[in-house]
Amino acid sequence: MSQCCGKVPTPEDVQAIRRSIEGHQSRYQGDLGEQAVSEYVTNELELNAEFFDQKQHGFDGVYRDGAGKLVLIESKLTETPGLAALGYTQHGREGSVEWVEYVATQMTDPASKEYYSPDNAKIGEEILSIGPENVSFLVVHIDPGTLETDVSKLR
Amino acid sequence: MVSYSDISKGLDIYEKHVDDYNRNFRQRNKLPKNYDWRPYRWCSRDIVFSLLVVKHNRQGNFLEVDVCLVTNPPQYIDHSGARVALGFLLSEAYKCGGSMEIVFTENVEGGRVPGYICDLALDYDIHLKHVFEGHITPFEARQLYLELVGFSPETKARVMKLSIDGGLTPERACFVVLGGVWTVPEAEMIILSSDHPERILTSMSRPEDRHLYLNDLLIARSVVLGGALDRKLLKTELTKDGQVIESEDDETPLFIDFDSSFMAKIYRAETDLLIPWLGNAEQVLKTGQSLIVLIRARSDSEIQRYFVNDLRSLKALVHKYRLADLQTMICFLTPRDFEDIPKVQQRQITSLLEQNGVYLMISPDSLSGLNKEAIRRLETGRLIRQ
Repeated sequence: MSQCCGKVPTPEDVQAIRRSIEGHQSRYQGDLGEQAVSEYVTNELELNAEFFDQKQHGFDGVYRDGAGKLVLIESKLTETPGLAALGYTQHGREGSVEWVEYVATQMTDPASKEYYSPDNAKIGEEILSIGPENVSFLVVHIDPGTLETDVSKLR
Repeated sequence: MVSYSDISKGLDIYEKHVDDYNRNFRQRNKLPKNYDWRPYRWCSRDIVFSLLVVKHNRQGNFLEVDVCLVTNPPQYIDHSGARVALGFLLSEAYKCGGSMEIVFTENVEGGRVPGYICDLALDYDIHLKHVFEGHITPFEARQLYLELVGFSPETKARVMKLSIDGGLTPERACFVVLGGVWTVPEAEMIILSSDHPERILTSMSRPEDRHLYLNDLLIARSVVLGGALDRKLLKTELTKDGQVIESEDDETPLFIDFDSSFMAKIYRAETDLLIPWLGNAEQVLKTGQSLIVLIRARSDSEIQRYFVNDLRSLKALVHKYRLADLQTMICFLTPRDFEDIPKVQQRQITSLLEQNGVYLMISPDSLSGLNKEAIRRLETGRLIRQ
Protein backbone atom coordinates (compact mmCIF):
# COMPACT_ATOMS: atom_id res chain seq x y z
CA MET A 1 0.00 0.00 0.00
CA SER A 2 1.10 3.56 -0.39
CA GLN A 3 2.53 5.29 2.66
CA CYS A 4 0.11 5.41 5.57
CA CYS A 5 0.26 8.93 7.02
CA GLY A 6 -0.59 10.08 10.50
CA LYS A 7 -1.95 13.59 10.85
CA VAL A 8 -3.79 15.66 13.40
CA PRO A 9 -7.26 15.93 11.86
CA THR A 10 -9.34 19.05 11.47
CA PRO A 11 -13.00 19.10 12.58
CA GLU A 12 -13.88 18.92 8.85
CA ASP A 13 -11.91 15.67 8.55
CA VAL A 14 -13.90 14.18 11.41
CA GLN A 15 -17.17 15.18 9.75
CA ALA A 16 -16.04 13.52 6.50
CA ILE A 17 -15.10 10.34 8.39
CA ARG A 18 -18.42 10.39 10.23
CA ARG A 19 -20.38 10.83 6.98
CA SER A 20 -18.46 7.98 5.42
CA ILE A 21 -19.12 5.65 8.36
CA GLU A 22 -22.80 6.57 8.43
CA GLY A 23 -22.96 5.98 4.68
CA HIS A 24 -21.65 2.48 5.21
CA GLN A 25 -23.70 1.85 8.32
CA SER A 26 -26.51 -0.07 6.65
CA ARG A 27 -24.06 -2.27 4.77
CA TYR A 28 -21.98 -2.74 7.90
CA GLN A 29 -25.08 -3.61 9.90
CA GLY A 30 -26.28 -5.96 7.18
CA ASP A 31 -22.96 -7.82 6.97
CA LEU A 32 -22.58 -7.91 10.73
CA GLY A 33 -26.18 -9.05 11.22
CA GLU A 34 -25.99 -11.84 8.67
CA GLN A 35 -22.70 -13.14 10.01
CA ALA A 36 -23.92 -13.12 13.61
CA VAL A 37 -27.29 -14.64 12.69
CA SER A 38 -25.68 -17.37 10.65
CA GLU A 39 -23.49 -18.32 13.62
CA TYR A 40 -26.39 -18.11 16.07
CA VAL A 41 -28.84 -20.14 13.98
CA THR A 42 -26.36 -22.91 13.31
CA ASN A 43 -24.85 -23.12 16.79
CA GLU A 44 -27.73 -22.21 19.11
CA LEU A 45 -30.85 -23.26 17.21
CA GLU A 46 -29.07 -26.23 15.63
CA LEU A 47 -30.56 -25.64 12.21
CA ASN A 48 -28.83 -26.72 9.00
CA ALA A 49 -28.24 -24.24 6.20
CA GLU A 50 -30.08 -25.00 2.95
CA PHE A 51 -28.58 -24.27 -0.49
CA PHE A 52 -29.92 -20.78 -0.97
CA ASP A 53 -28.62 -17.84 -3.02
CA GLN A 54 -29.37 -14.77 -1.04
CA LYS A 55 -30.45 -12.05 -3.44
CA GLN A 56 -31.09 -8.37 -3.08
CA HIS A 57 -34.67 -9.04 -1.97
CA GLY A 58 -36.37 -11.97 -0.31
CA PHE A 59 -35.46 -14.16 2.62
CA ASP A 60 -32.34 -13.56 4.69
CA GLY A 61 -31.76 -17.23 5.30
CA VAL A 62 -33.27 -20.63 4.60
CA TYR A 63 -32.54 -23.53 6.96
CA ARG A 64 -33.92 -26.97 7.86
CA ASP A 65 -34.67 -28.25 11.32
CA GLY A 66 -33.78 -31.71 12.64
CA ALA A 67 -36.88 -33.19 11.01
CA GLY A 68 -35.90 -31.74 7.61
CA LYS A 69 -38.65 -29.09 7.57
CA LEU A 70 -37.94 -25.70 6.03
CA VAL A 71 -37.33 -22.77 8.41
CA LEU A 72 -37.20 -19.23 7.02
CA ILE A 73 -35.06 -16.70 8.86
CA GLU A 74 -35.31 -12.94 8.87
CA SER A 75 -32.33 -11.23 10.53
CA LYS A 76 -32.69 -7.80 12.09
CA LEU A 77 -29.90 -5.66 13.50
CA THR A 78 -31.98 -2.84 14.93
CA GLU A 79 -32.82 -1.27 18.24
CA THR A 80 -36.48 -2.24 17.70
CA PRO A 81 -36.91 -5.63 19.33
CA GLY A 82 -38.51 -8.84 18.04
CA LEU A 83 -41.41 -8.94 15.60
CA ALA A 84 -41.82 -5.16 15.73
CA ALA A 85 -38.68 -4.94 13.59
CA LEU A 86 -40.43 -6.56 10.62
CA GLY A 87 -40.98 -4.03 7.86
CA TYR A 88 -43.91 -3.45 5.50
CA THR A 89 -43.73 -4.09 1.75
CA GLN A 90 -46.10 -3.73 -1.20
CA HIS A 91 -46.81 -7.43 -0.83
CA GLY A 92 -47.64 -7.48 2.84
CA ARG A 93 -45.58 -7.36 5.99
CA GLU A 94 -42.29 -9.28 6.04
CA GLY A 95 -42.99 -12.78 7.29
CA SER A 96 -46.71 -12.66 6.52
CA VAL A 97 -48.21 -15.57 4.54
CA GLU A 98 -48.94 -13.20 1.63
CA TRP A 99 -45.34 -11.96 1.57
CA VAL A 100 -43.81 -15.46 1.85
CA GLU A 101 -46.04 -16.65 -1.02
CA TYR A 102 -45.01 -13.68 -3.17
CA VAL A 103 -41.29 -14.23 -2.51
CA ALA A 104 -41.59 -18.01 -3.12
CA THR A 105 -43.38 -17.36 -6.43
CA GLN A 106 -40.70 -14.91 -7.51
CA MET A 107 -37.98 -17.40 -6.59
CA THR A 108 -39.40 -19.88 -9.08
CA ASP A 109 -39.63 -17.33 -11.91
CA PRO A 110 -36.45 -17.26 -14.10
CA ALA A 111 -37.41 -13.76 -15.28
CA SER A 112 -37.16 -12.44 -11.72
CA LYS A 113 -33.45 -11.67 -11.40
CA GLU A 114 -33.82 -10.25 -7.91
CA TYR A 115 -35.07 -13.55 -6.50
CA TYR A 116 -34.43 -16.42 -8.95
CA SER A 117 -31.63 -18.95 -9.06
CA PRO A 118 -31.85 -22.72 -9.70
CA ASP A 119 -31.37 -23.44 -5.96
CA ASN A 120 -33.88 -20.77 -4.97
CA ALA A 121 -36.43 -22.16 -7.46
CA LYS A 122 -36.37 -25.54 -5.69
CA ILE A 123 -36.97 -23.88 -2.32
CA GLY A 124 -39.74 -21.68 -3.78
CA GLU A 125 -41.49 -24.73 -5.25
CA GLU A 126 -41.28 -26.56 -1.92
CA ILE A 127 -42.76 -23.59 -0.04
CA LEU A 128 -45.61 -23.28 -2.54
CA SER A 129 -46.29 -27.01 -2.50
CA ILE A 130 -46.61 -27.29 1.29
CA GLY A 131 -48.26 -23.88 1.60
CA PRO A 132 -46.55 -20.71 2.90
CA GLU A 133 -48.66 -20.81 6.07
CA ASN A 134 -47.10 -24.18 6.97
CA VAL A 135 -43.49 -22.99 6.78
CA SER A 136 -41.81 -21.92 10.03
CA PHE A 137 -40.68 -18.31 10.12
CA LEU A 138 -38.25 -16.98 12.74
CA VAL A 139 -37.02 -13.46 13.38
CA VAL A 140 -33.49 -13.35 14.81
CA HIS A 141 -32.95 -9.95 16.33
CA ILE A 142 -29.57 -8.50 17.33
CA ASP A 143 -29.23 -5.39 19.43
CA PRO A 144 -26.61 -3.23 17.64
CA GLY A 145 -25.43 -1.75 20.95
CA THR A 146 -24.94 -4.91 22.97
CA LEU A 147 -24.91 -7.50 20.14
CA GLU A 148 -27.30 -9.60 22.28
CA THR A 149 -29.42 -11.96 20.19
CA ASP A 150 -33.04 -13.06 20.67
CA VAL A 151 -35.38 -15.13 18.55
CA SER A 152 -39.10 -14.58 17.94
CA LYS A 153 -41.21 -17.25 16.27
CA LEU A 154 -43.83 -15.88 13.92
CA ARG A 155 -45.11 -19.31 12.87
CA MET B 1 -16.33 -7.70 17.10
CA VAL B 2 -16.91 -3.98 17.77
CA SER B 3 -20.55 -2.91 17.74
CA TYR B 4 -21.72 0.10 15.76
CA SER B 5 -22.66 1.93 18.96
CA ASP B 6 -19.06 1.47 20.23
CA ILE B 7 -17.76 2.97 16.98
CA SER B 8 -20.28 5.80 17.20
CA LYS B 9 -19.36 6.49 20.83
CA GLY B 10 -15.65 6.41 20.03
CA LEU B 11 -16.22 8.81 17.16
CA ASP B 12 -18.11 11.23 19.43
CA ILE B 13 -15.20 11.25 21.89
CA TYR B 14 -12.74 11.61 19.03
CA GLU B 15 -14.69 14.59 17.68
CA LYS B 16 -14.62 16.23 21.10
CA HIS B 17 -10.83 15.78 21.29
CA VAL B 18 -10.39 17.23 17.80
CA ASP B 19 -12.52 20.26 18.74
CA ASP B 20 -10.52 20.73 21.96
CA TYR B 21 -7.25 20.43 20.03
CA ASN B 22 -8.48 22.92 17.47
CA ARG B 23 -9.49 25.40 20.14
CA ASN B 24 -6.49 25.00 22.44
CA PHE B 25 -3.68 24.61 19.95
CA ARG B 26 -4.45 25.15 16.28
CA GLN B 27 -6.40 28.38 16.71
CA ARG B 28 -3.82 29.71 19.18
CA ASN B 29 -0.98 28.62 16.90
CA LYS B 30 0.52 26.59 19.74
CA LEU B 31 2.00 23.12 19.77
CA PRO B 32 0.79 20.53 22.30
CA LYS B 33 3.03 18.95 24.92
CA ASN B 34 3.42 15.20 25.21
CA TYR B 35 1.08 15.23 28.21
CA ASP B 36 -1.76 16.95 26.29
CA TRP B 37 -4.38 14.85 24.54
CA ARG B 38 -3.49 14.66 20.85
CA PRO B 39 -5.79 13.19 18.18
CA TYR B 40 -4.33 11.50 15.09
CA ARG B 41 -5.83 9.96 12.00
CA TRP B 42 -3.89 7.33 10.06
CA CYS B 43 -4.87 7.16 6.40
CA SER B 44 -3.61 5.91 3.09
CA ARG B 45 -5.14 8.15 0.44
CA ASP B 46 -8.81 8.29 1.40
CA ILE B 47 -8.89 5.09 3.45
CA VAL B 48 -8.84 5.48 7.22
CA PHE B 49 -6.94 2.76 9.07
CA SER B 50 -7.01 4.10 12.56
CA LEU B 51 -8.21 6.99 14.71
CA LEU B 52 -6.26 7.52 17.91
CA VAL B 53 -6.11 9.97 20.81
CA VAL B 54 -3.09 9.68 23.10
CA LYS B 55 -1.21 11.48 25.83
CA HIS B 56 1.74 10.76 28.09
CA ASN B 57 0.56 10.27 31.64
CA ARG B 58 3.21 11.95 33.75
CA GLN B 59 2.10 10.49 37.09
CA GLY B 60 2.05 6.91 35.88
CA ASN B 61 4.83 7.34 33.28
CA PHE B 62 2.78 5.48 30.65
CA LEU B 63 1.03 6.24 27.38
CA GLU B 64 -2.69 6.74 27.87
CA VAL B 65 -5.07 6.03 24.99
CA ASP B 66 -8.56 7.54 25.05
CA VAL B 67 -9.69 6.61 21.51
CA CYS B 68 -8.46 3.64 19.52
CA LEU B 69 -10.69 2.95 16.53
CA VAL B 70 -9.15 0.46 14.15
CA THR B 71 -10.30 -1.02 10.88
CA ASN B 72 -8.63 -3.69 8.76
CA PRO B 73 -9.76 -2.97 5.18
CA PRO B 74 -10.05 -6.34 3.40
CA GLN B 75 -8.17 -5.11 0.31
CA TYR B 76 -4.98 -4.64 2.39
CA ILE B 77 -2.75 -7.11 4.23
CA ASP B 78 -4.11 -8.83 7.36
CA HIS B 79 -4.28 -6.69 10.49
CA SER B 80 -3.27 -3.60 8.48
CA GLY B 81 -5.18 -1.17 10.74
CA ALA B 82 -4.01 -2.88 13.93
CA ARG B 83 -0.40 -2.79 12.68
CA VAL B 84 -0.66 0.94 11.96
CA ALA B 85 -2.28 1.68 15.33
CA LEU B 86 0.09 -0.48 17.35
CA GLY B 87 3.15 0.82 15.50
CA PHE B 88 2.12 4.37 16.33
CA LEU B 89 1.25 3.62 19.97
CA LEU B 90 4.55 1.84 20.64
CA SER B 91 6.61 4.51 18.88
CA GLU B 92 4.73 7.27 20.70
CA ALA B 93 5.25 5.47 24.02
CA TYR B 94 8.98 5.38 23.27
CA LYS B 95 9.14 8.95 22.00
CA CYS B 96 7.37 10.35 25.06
CA GLY B 97 10.05 8.86 27.28
CA GLY B 98 7.78 6.66 29.36
CA SER B 99 8.12 3.10 30.55
CA MET B 100 6.56 1.73 27.31
CA GLU B 101 3.45 0.74 29.27
CA ILE B 102 0.24 1.49 27.36
CA VAL B 103 -3.05 1.98 29.17
CA PHE B 104 -6.46 2.18 27.48
CA THR B 105 -9.15 4.27 29.19
CA GLU B 106 -12.76 3.24 29.77
CA ASN B 107 -13.67 4.88 26.46
CA VAL B 108 -11.78 2.21 24.51
CA GLU B 109 -14.10 -0.81 24.29
CA GLY B 110 -15.02 -0.39 27.97
CA GLY B 111 -11.42 -0.20 29.16
CA ARG B 112 -9.86 -3.26 27.53
CA VAL B 113 -7.05 -3.70 25.02
CA PRO B 114 -8.82 -3.34 21.64
CA GLY B 115 -9.84 -6.64 20.10
CA TYR B 116 -8.00 -6.05 16.84
CA ILE B 117 -4.73 -5.45 18.72
CA CYS B 118 -5.29 -8.64 20.75
CA ASP B 119 -5.83 -10.53 17.46
CA LEU B 120 -2.54 -9.19 16.11
CA ALA B 121 -0.70 -10.12 19.34
CA LEU B 122 -2.16 -13.60 19.06
CA ASP B 123 -0.85 -13.81 15.49
CA TYR B 124 2.61 -12.94 16.82
CA ASP B 125 2.21 -15.63 19.48
CA ILE B 126 2.42 -13.03 22.24
CA HIS B 127 0.12 -13.54 25.21
CA LEU B 128 -1.19 -10.27 26.64
CA LYS B 129 -1.84 -10.82 30.33
CA HIS B 130 -3.92 -7.76 31.18
CA VAL B 131 -6.35 -7.47 28.28
CA PHE B 132 -9.43 -6.71 30.37
CA GLU B 133 -7.56 -4.28 32.62
CA GLY B 134 -6.65 -2.38 29.42
CA HIS B 135 -2.88 -2.62 30.00
CA ILE B 136 0.01 -3.57 27.77
CA THR B 137 3.04 -4.03 30.02
CA PRO B 138 6.53 -2.76 29.07
CA PHE B 139 7.70 -6.36 28.56
CA GLU B 140 4.77 -7.12 26.23
CA ALA B 141 5.32 -3.80 24.44
CA ARG B 142 8.96 -4.72 23.76
CA GLN B 143 7.96 -8.12 22.34
CA LEU B 144 5.23 -6.57 20.19
CA TYR B 145 7.58 -3.85 18.93
CA LEU B 146 10.24 -6.36 17.82
CA GLU B 147 7.65 -8.52 16.05
CA LEU B 148 5.94 -5.56 14.43
CA VAL B 149 9.17 -4.22 12.92
CA GLY B 150 9.91 -7.66 11.50
CA PHE B 151 13.63 -8.12 12.15
CA SER B 152 15.13 -11.47 11.15
CA PRO B 153 15.77 -13.96 14.00
CA GLU B 154 19.52 -13.36 13.62
CA THR B 155 19.07 -9.60 13.97
CA LYS B 156 16.71 -10.00 16.93
CA ALA B 157 19.27 -12.18 18.69
CA ARG B 158 22.00 -9.56 18.10
CA VAL B 159 19.71 -6.77 19.33
CA MET B 160 18.94 -8.71 22.50
CA LYS B 161 22.65 -9.32 23.07
CA LEU B 162 23.37 -5.63 22.61
CA SER B 163 20.56 -4.91 25.06
CA ILE B 164 22.08 -7.22 27.68
CA ASP B 165 25.47 -5.60 27.14
CA GLY B 166 23.81 -2.25 27.73
CA GLY B 167 24.68 -0.79 24.34
CA LEU B 168 21.28 -0.49 22.69
CA THR B 169 17.71 -0.98 23.81
CA PRO B 170 15.48 -3.05 21.50
CA GLU B 171 12.96 -0.19 21.58
CA ARG B 172 15.54 2.19 20.15
CA ALA B 173 16.39 -0.26 17.33
CA CYS B 174 12.68 -0.54 16.53
CA PHE B 175 12.04 3.19 16.80
CA VAL B 176 14.74 4.17 14.30
CA VAL B 177 13.01 1.85 11.80
CA LEU B 178 9.39 2.85 12.42
CA GLY B 179 10.52 6.47 12.84
CA GLY B 180 11.78 6.34 9.26
CA VAL B 181 15.51 6.87 9.92
CA TRP B 182 16.55 3.46 8.58
CA THR B 183 14.53 0.77 6.78
CA VAL B 184 14.43 -2.79 8.12
CA PRO B 185 17.07 -4.12 5.63
CA GLU B 186 19.26 -1.06 6.32
CA ALA B 187 19.01 -1.48 10.11
CA GLU B 188 19.77 -5.20 9.74
CA MET B 189 22.81 -4.33 7.64
CA ILE B 190 24.06 -2.00 10.39
CA ILE B 191 23.29 -4.44 13.22
CA LEU B 192 24.87 -7.44 11.52
CA SER B 193 27.89 -5.84 9.82
CA SER B 194 29.15 -3.30 12.33
CA ASP B 195 31.23 -4.14 15.39
CA HIS B 196 29.45 -1.36 17.23
CA PRO B 197 26.00 -0.95 15.69
CA GLU B 198 24.81 0.87 18.80
CA ARG B 199 27.09 3.79 17.90
CA ILE B 200 25.36 4.23 14.53
CA LEU B 201 21.81 3.51 15.67
CA THR B 202 22.12 5.87 18.63
CA SER B 203 24.21 8.41 16.64
CA MET B 204 26.62 8.33 19.53
CA SER B 205 29.79 9.54 17.79
CA ARG B 206 30.07 13.26 17.19
CA PRO B 207 32.05 14.76 14.31
CA GLU B 208 34.55 16.01 16.91
CA ASP B 209 35.36 12.36 17.70
CA ARG B 210 36.87 12.24 14.24
CA HIS B 211 37.95 8.62 13.90
CA LEU B 212 34.90 7.10 15.50
CA TYR B 213 32.62 9.35 13.46
CA LEU B 214 34.37 8.56 10.17
CA ASN B 215 34.20 4.86 10.93
CA ASP B 216 30.45 5.13 11.53
CA LEU B 217 30.08 7.20 8.38
CA LEU B 218 31.88 4.55 6.31
CA ILE B 219 29.33 1.94 7.36
CA ALA B 220 26.39 4.32 7.16
CA ARG B 221 27.17 5.32 3.57
CA SER B 222 27.43 1.67 2.50
CA VAL B 223 24.08 1.07 4.16
CA VAL B 224 22.57 4.04 2.32
CA LEU B 225 23.93 2.68 -0.97
CA GLY B 226 22.46 -0.75 -0.23
CA GLY B 227 19.15 0.87 0.74
CA ALA B 228 19.07 2.79 -2.55
CA LEU B 229 19.41 -0.51 -4.43
CA ASP B 230 16.66 -2.08 -2.28
CA ARG B 231 14.29 0.75 -3.18
CA LYS B 232 15.21 0.61 -6.86
CA LEU B 233 14.52 -3.13 -7.00
CA LEU B 234 11.31 -2.88 -4.95
CA LYS B 235 9.80 -0.11 -7.07
CA THR B 236 7.58 -1.25 -9.88
CA GLU B 237 8.06 0.84 -12.97
CA LEU B 238 5.13 1.45 -15.27
CA THR B 239 5.16 3.05 -18.68
CA LYS B 240 2.68 5.84 -19.23
CA ASP B 241 2.58 7.98 -22.39
CA GLY B 242 6.02 6.67 -23.35
CA GLN B 243 7.51 7.73 -20.00
CA VAL B 244 8.63 5.44 -17.20
CA ILE B 245 6.90 6.23 -13.93
CA GLU B 246 7.30 4.55 -10.56
CA SER B 247 4.20 3.04 -9.06
CA GLU B 248 3.49 4.28 -5.56
CA ASP B 249 1.32 1.35 -4.59
CA ASP B 250 2.92 -1.70 -6.17
CA GLU B 251 6.08 -3.15 -4.74
CA THR B 252 7.97 -5.94 -6.46
CA PRO B 253 7.79 -9.05 -4.26
CA LEU B 254 11.41 -9.47 -3.24
CA PHE B 255 13.20 -11.29 -0.44
CA ILE B 256 16.10 -9.26 0.98
CA ASP B 257 18.83 -10.73 3.16
CA PHE B 258 22.35 -9.78 4.10
CA ASP B 259 25.67 -11.59 4.30
CA SER B 260 27.62 -9.76 6.97
CA SER B 261 30.91 -11.55 6.29
CA PHE B 262 31.12 -9.96 2.81
CA MET B 263 28.97 -6.84 3.34
CA ALA B 264 26.84 -8.24 0.51
CA LYS B 265 23.09 -8.01 -0.06
CA ILE B 266 21.17 -11.09 -1.10
CA TYR B 267 18.01 -10.72 -3.17
CA ARG B 268 15.63 -13.41 -4.30
CA ALA B 269 12.94 -12.40 -6.76
CA GLU B 270 9.41 -13.74 -6.53
CA THR B 271 8.72 -12.44 -10.02
CA ASP B 272 10.95 -11.68 -13.01
CA LEU B 273 12.59 -8.27 -12.67
CA LEU B 274 15.08 -6.18 -14.61
CA ILE B 275 18.34 -5.65 -12.73
CA PRO B 276 19.12 -1.93 -12.64
CA TRP B 277 22.36 0.01 -13.03
CA LEU B 278 24.15 -2.54 -15.22
CA GLY B 279 24.82 -0.06 -18.04
CA ASN B 280 24.34 -1.70 -21.40
CA ALA B 281 24.21 -5.25 -20.00
CA GLU B 282 20.47 -5.82 -19.65
CA GLN B 283 19.87 -8.73 -17.30
CA VAL B 284 16.66 -10.13 -15.91
CA LEU B 285 16.54 -11.78 -12.50
CA LYS B 286 14.23 -14.71 -12.97
CA THR B 287 11.68 -15.89 -10.42
CA GLY B 288 13.41 -17.86 -7.67
CA GLN B 289 16.88 -16.82 -8.88
CA SER B 290 19.27 -15.18 -6.38
CA LEU B 291 21.20 -11.98 -6.84
CA ILE B 292 24.21 -11.28 -4.60
CA VAL B 293 25.53 -7.73 -4.58
CA LEU B 294 28.83 -6.78 -2.99
CA ILE B 295 28.29 -3.25 -1.68
CA ARG B 296 31.30 -0.97 -1.84
CA ALA B 297 30.64 2.73 -1.30
CA ARG B 298 34.04 4.01 -2.37
CA SER B 299 35.43 7.14 -3.99
CA ASP B 300 37.35 6.95 -7.30
CA SER B 301 40.72 6.85 -5.52
CA GLU B 302 39.46 4.27 -3.01
CA ILE B 303 38.19 2.05 -5.83
CA GLN B 304 41.63 2.09 -7.44
CA ARG B 305 43.38 1.46 -4.17
CA TYR B 306 41.14 -1.25 -2.75
CA PHE B 307 39.97 -3.06 -5.88
CA VAL B 308 42.49 -5.86 -5.35
CA ASN B 309 40.97 -6.55 -1.93
CA ASP B 310 37.46 -6.28 -3.34
CA LEU B 311 38.33 -8.72 -6.10
CA ARG B 312 39.54 -11.19 -3.50
CA SER B 313 36.24 -10.84 -1.65
CA LEU B 314 34.37 -11.26 -4.91
CA LYS B 315 36.20 -14.46 -5.74
CA ALA B 316 35.35 -15.85 -2.29
CA LEU B 317 31.74 -14.69 -2.75
CA VAL B 318 31.51 -16.37 -6.16
CA HIS B 319 32.95 -19.54 -4.69
CA LYS B 320 30.50 -19.56 -1.80
CA TYR B 321 27.31 -18.83 -3.72
CA ARG B 322 27.97 -20.36 -7.15
CA LEU B 323 28.92 -23.60 -5.48
CA ALA B 324 25.44 -23.75 -3.98
CA ASP B 325 23.61 -22.55 -7.08
CA LEU B 326 25.16 -22.02 -10.52
CA GLN B 327 22.33 -19.71 -11.56
CA THR B 328 23.15 -17.15 -8.85
CA MET B 329 23.97 -13.72 -10.28
CA ILE B 330 26.73 -11.74 -8.63
CA CYS B 331 27.25 -7.98 -8.94
CA PHE B 332 29.75 -5.44 -7.68
CA LEU B 333 28.05 -2.17 -6.71
CA THR B 334 29.92 1.13 -6.60
CA PRO B 335 28.82 4.75 -6.62
CA ARG B 336 28.97 6.93 -9.75
CA ASP B 337 32.53 7.92 -8.76
CA PHE B 338 33.66 4.83 -10.71
CA GLU B 339 33.29 6.93 -13.85
CA ASP B 340 35.92 9.37 -12.55
CA ILE B 341 38.76 6.87 -12.66
CA PRO B 342 40.84 6.70 -15.85
CA LYS B 343 39.22 4.81 -18.73
CA VAL B 344 42.09 2.35 -18.96
CA GLN B 345 41.62 1.28 -15.36
CA GLN B 346 37.86 1.17 -15.79
CA ARG B 347 38.35 -1.30 -18.64
CA GLN B 348 40.78 -3.37 -16.57
CA ILE B 349 38.35 -3.59 -13.65
CA THR B 350 35.43 -4.46 -15.93
CA SER B 351 37.50 -7.13 -17.63
CA LEU B 352 38.57 -8.69 -14.31
CA LEU B 353 34.97 -8.73 -13.14
CA GLU B 354 33.82 -10.35 -16.38
CA GLN B 355 36.49 -13.04 -16.05
CA ASN B 356 34.96 -13.96 -12.69
CA GLY B 357 31.38 -13.83 -13.96
CA VAL B 358 30.56 -10.70 -11.99
CA TYR B 359 28.51 -7.78 -13.31
CA LEU B 360 29.51 -4.19 -12.60
CA MET B 361 26.67 -2.19 -11.12
CA ILE B 362 27.09 1.60 -11.01
CA SER B 363 24.70 3.53 -8.81
CA PRO B 364 23.52 6.95 -10.09
CA ASP B 365 24.46 8.36 -6.65
CA SER B 366 27.89 9.85 -6.08
CA LEU B 367 29.84 9.22 -2.90
CA SER B 368 29.36 12.82 -1.79
CA GLY B 369 25.59 12.34 -2.14
CA LEU B 370 25.75 9.12 -0.11
CA ASN B 371 27.84 10.83 2.56
CA LYS B 372 25.37 13.69 2.74
CA GLU B 373 22.45 11.29 3.21
CA ALA B 374 24.37 9.23 5.78
CA ILE B 375 25.21 12.39 7.76
CA ARG B 376 21.55 13.46 7.60
CA ARG B 377 20.44 10.14 9.04
CA LEU B 378 23.04 10.18 11.79
CA GLU B 379 21.98 13.72 12.67
CA THR B 380 18.28 12.71 12.68
CA GLY B 381 19.12 9.83 15.00
CA ARG B 382 20.72 12.31 17.40
CA LEU B 383 17.40 14.12 17.84
CA ILE B 384 15.58 10.98 18.99
CA ARG B 385 15.25 9.82 22.59
CA GLN B 386 18.40 7.89 23.56
